[in-house]
Amino acid sequence: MSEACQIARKQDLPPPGGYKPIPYKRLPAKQLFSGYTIFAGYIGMTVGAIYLYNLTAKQIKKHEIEMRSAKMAIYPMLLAERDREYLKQIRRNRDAEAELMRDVPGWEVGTYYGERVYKLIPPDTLVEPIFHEYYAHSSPSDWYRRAYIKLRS
Amino acid sequence: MLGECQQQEARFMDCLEAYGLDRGRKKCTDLFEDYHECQTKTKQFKRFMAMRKERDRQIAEGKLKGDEKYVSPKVDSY
Repeated sequence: MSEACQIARKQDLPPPGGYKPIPYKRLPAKQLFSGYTIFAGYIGMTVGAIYLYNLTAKQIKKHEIEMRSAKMAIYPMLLAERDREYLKQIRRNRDAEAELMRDVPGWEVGTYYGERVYKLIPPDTLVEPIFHEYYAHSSPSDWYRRAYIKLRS
Repeated sequence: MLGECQQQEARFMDCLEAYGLDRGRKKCTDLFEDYHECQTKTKQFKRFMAMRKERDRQIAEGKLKGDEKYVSPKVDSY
């Protein structure tokens, strides 16, 4: 018993001065703005945004109308140009075919070994070529490029 | 685009209607062939195959070389 009093042992005691009081009361959230302030802020922001939007909205709308009108105006011309190029190309195709199949026995230009494609139409009518015929004399890379565009658009 | 073969079909059907099916089979073969060709485009495709084969043969043989090998259309013209 005397040894227990002489040696100072380490004990788990409360800190000097005691513990601080435990907070148990409810802590409501901090109110930055009141309800009316929030509504007023929202309306104010909306008004400001509408004003800023309207500064350039008219200009943008006019620009869009202009672009659309221009596109609509030149569209027929572009179609016409495409048709022109198409007709020129089928003429070139015919010439290339004539030159290519010159020595092939039995071949006549525009027919399949003498047999006409459509039998009962007058011989001079234009028979519109299919894609393969149109690209029959083209290099494979151009052909694939066109087919790829068609596939993906 | 959906009405490409309407004319050929109308002609063939008129012929069939006039002759009936049995006689029509024999009499309207030309009209039928035109209609069939319009729908399936087999002859045009065969033409393409023949021309392509000939061109490849001539290139392999060496008759066509360089810039004369191919005649390519412009990409946006078809």
